[in-house]
Amino acid sequence: MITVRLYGLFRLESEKPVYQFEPVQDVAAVLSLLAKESRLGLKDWKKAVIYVNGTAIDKLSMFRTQLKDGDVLSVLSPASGG
Amino acid sequence: MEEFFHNRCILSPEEQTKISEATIAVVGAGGLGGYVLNGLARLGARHIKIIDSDVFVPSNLNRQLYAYKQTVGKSKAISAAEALNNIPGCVPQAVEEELREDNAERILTGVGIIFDCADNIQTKLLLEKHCLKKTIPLFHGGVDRTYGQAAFILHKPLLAGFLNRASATENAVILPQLVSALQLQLFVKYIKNNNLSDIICYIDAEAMELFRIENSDS
Repeated sequence: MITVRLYGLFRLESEKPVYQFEPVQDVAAVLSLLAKESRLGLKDWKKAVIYVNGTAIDKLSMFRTQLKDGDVLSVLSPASGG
Repeated sequence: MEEFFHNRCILSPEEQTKISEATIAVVGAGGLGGYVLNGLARLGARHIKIIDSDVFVPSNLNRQLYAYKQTVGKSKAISAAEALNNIPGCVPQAVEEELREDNAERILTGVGIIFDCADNIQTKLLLEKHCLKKTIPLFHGGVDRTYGQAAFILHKPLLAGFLNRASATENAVILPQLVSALQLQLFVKYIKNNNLSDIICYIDAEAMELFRIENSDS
């Protein structure tokens, strides 16, 4: 299974704080599943800061980052208020 | 000083002296800034520059430490400075100016440590740029609803790539207190270890989780 843990705005605006999916090829595929199963659209999910097992996807292959069974994605939104 | 006797549980006498001798700027004296200023003064900081051009408005009363019925309409920087004057040794300086590209150099002259408690991305990015250029430690805070982050930035840019994915914000009283406490803890860590690496802590109060994240720009 692929586990997706939501934080920040994504946790507040999604129906569930944690999603689990059967293994899929990459991060883009997970975002498509999230868009399908939640009230947020793909455009919203693509704005997230995403980590795969604690490593930012910006340092991997962004949305093409390959996934395997057991991977944990953390999906969060930064805060800019003071 | 007797007033700071109990700080010995987290600070050695030498570290306490480092704090009292530091010149610190806090940019923004609202939600985060109010609690950061209070914490700094009680940690024994003496030379604190409080930079904020705003006045308190009634909608600040839900969360900003120095917003009271009697300070509505009054300068945030001056109200905070007046409160800090009551803490022994503290010599706050109120700067009622908006920090901008063309005045940052002048306003921040002589400052060795900066806290980012600003309420807008533009000022946060300006502070990061200034601090990295001058090698000044920056203690960043950002809050929104039930989540936020605190960061120690000295070596690598973080905010430019991170905050462009932030959305509009709205705040109650809890998150500014949590994130300001993290900013202060990062400050204490830096005082204890000047070789501290950059750190970003993310907190989600709804999830009851606090964790370190890595800087994706590094």
